[in-house]
Amino acid sequence: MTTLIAWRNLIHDPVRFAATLIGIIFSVVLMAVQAGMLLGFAETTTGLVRQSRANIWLVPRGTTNVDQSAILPQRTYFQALKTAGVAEAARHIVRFVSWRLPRGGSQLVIVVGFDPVSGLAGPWNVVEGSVAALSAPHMVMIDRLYAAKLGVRAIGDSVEISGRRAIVAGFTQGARTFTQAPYVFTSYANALRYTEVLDGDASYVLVRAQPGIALAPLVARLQAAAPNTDVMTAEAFAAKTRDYWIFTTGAGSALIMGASLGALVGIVIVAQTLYAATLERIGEYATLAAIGAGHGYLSAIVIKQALICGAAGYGIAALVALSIAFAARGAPAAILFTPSALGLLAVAALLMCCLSALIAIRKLSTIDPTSVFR
Amino acid sequence: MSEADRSIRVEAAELRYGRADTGTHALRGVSLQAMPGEVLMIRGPSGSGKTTLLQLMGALKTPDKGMVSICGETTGGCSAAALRSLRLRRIGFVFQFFNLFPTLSAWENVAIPLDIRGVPRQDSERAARAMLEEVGLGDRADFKPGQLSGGQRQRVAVARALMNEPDVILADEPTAALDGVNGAIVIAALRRLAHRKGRVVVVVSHDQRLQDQVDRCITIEDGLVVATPAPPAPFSPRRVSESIG
Ligand SMILES: Nc1ncnc2c1ncn2[C@@H]1O[C@H](COP(=O)(O)OP(=O)(O)O)[C@@H](O)[C@H]1O
Ligand SMILES: [Mg+2]
Repeated sequence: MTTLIAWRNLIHDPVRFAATLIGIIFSVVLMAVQAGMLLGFAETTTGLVRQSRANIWLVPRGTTNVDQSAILPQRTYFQALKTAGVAEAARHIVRFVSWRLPRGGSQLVIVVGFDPVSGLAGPWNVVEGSVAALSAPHMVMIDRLYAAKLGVRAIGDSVEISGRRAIVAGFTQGARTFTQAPYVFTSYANALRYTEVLDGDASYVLVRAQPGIALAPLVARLQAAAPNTDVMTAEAFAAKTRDYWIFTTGAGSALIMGASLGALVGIVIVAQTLYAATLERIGEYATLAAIGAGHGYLSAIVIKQALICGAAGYGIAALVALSIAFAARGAPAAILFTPSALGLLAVAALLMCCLSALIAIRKLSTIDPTSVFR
Repeated sequence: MSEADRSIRVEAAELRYGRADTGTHALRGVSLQAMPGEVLMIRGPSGSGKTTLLQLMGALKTPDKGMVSICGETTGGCSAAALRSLRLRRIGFVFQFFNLFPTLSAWENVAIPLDIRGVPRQDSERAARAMLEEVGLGDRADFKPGQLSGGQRQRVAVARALMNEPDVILADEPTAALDGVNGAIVIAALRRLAHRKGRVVVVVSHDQRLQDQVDRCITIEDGLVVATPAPPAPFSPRRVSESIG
């Protein structure tokens, strides 16, 4: 019956109910988009590492993220190759360079030079052209998302990177970059021409372990073999990169602030609705108290109003958020939703509504049942 | 259970609003007894303490001094929760302005006391519809209060007051918002409860017309009872009507 009373109380004033729902939807969508962007950032920043198919990365001492690093000397590669348990090792270049735009001016890009033999940390989601083609001189591959930005229309377009000629040999789809400097995939050999990296040196040395080899001891062996590097699993390097971009740059705090603001807006709107609705019906609550209803019974009516608002608002908001994510699938900043994120958001929305109910519930505890007889 | 256990006894009850020196001494030593099977009317001028007395008899308040016992349970010193439980089990309230939930249907309103006690919905609906049948509103069970006349609303309120089979029905000006015909119907319903079911029925009212429809009439003035005829023998549907002043 408390559910029924809660529901009827809400629909009794449809305008206020609708306004409340819109407030909750706004608030939850705001939270959802912030959370989705955070997840999108996490995905974007770690793409190169997660898609590398390498188990272990040897990186220059003190490297904080995959996009920026110093240079490893050639001997690191051989130190890795000689280590027991290593199936494959590959030199890998990641460097910021300048891309000349056909309409004039230039754009910062990140040249990703991978080893075509091992194929580790090459392009992923290739939709046009072939990875094998990148072994030929001048051949590069970019992502469709950035084609317009880089002034590229189709395979075969001739472009200029670091003052040298390059030819677009293919496209990936969804290989996003967090830094807004698009990835330009090419072979290690080609990359040497576009960067200041000396032949034999590399940004990273990537390792594939032999099947069945435990990673932790292998990391330790590699660290001992190449003491002037940081050795870590791909997973650890991905996490490090993600935390660097999300937290060190303030992007994460901005998103968390945005989400908190969304929650605050929601709490204020729901709280004011519940309070007004409770105040309006204070006589009815007093009647219930006189008849013998306890504080729990009265609170249940308010809490259920909060939960109904929260559930309905969340349902609509989730749909809106998913549509926004769908619409943003071609945008440079990905908005991602995982089922667990949506679940967490539901909990947050309901928690938010329950929190908003507290003021109204406090009001209920001041109800004087004697007020029914005056 | 003896008859005495089902009465309301008020002994030398005092109640003061506000501070001891400047507050209103609303009840200044009231004693009375309301017996099962009788309709007791409490009347008196405005501000004389009728409502306060009804609040004591309904376990909504406890006296500052003196004693109130409802069906053998003394209210003094009880916690708010204990008073609430006493009200829920023992007392049915009827209000001047009905105090129905406008968004609930008649039967839903009537079922509320059962719901508070945790009775499953199916059972409470059946009982509520049966109770509405008893007050002659079986065909109005699914109507909202807004679709009912004043008299019908008050009968819904009476049905609600009866749901927990209370020993005591307390009514504050139950006819004040009704016309003569509807007022008479409601009073007749309360009389039947007292006389046929042996309930204690206490009615606070200004309404002169009620005086010859109740069994006994007490007048209070300035927080004191000014005339208390002896209570009637239990279950004797004797009609006593005394007017003082
Ligand atoms: N809540 C209250 N606070 C202060 N004074 C009150 C309160 N309720 C009643 N009184 C005072 O107590 C006296 C008795 O009131 P009440 O019991 O309502 O009388 P009646 O119902 O006969 O009009 C009046 O003087 C009234 O002003
Ligand atoms: Mg009064």
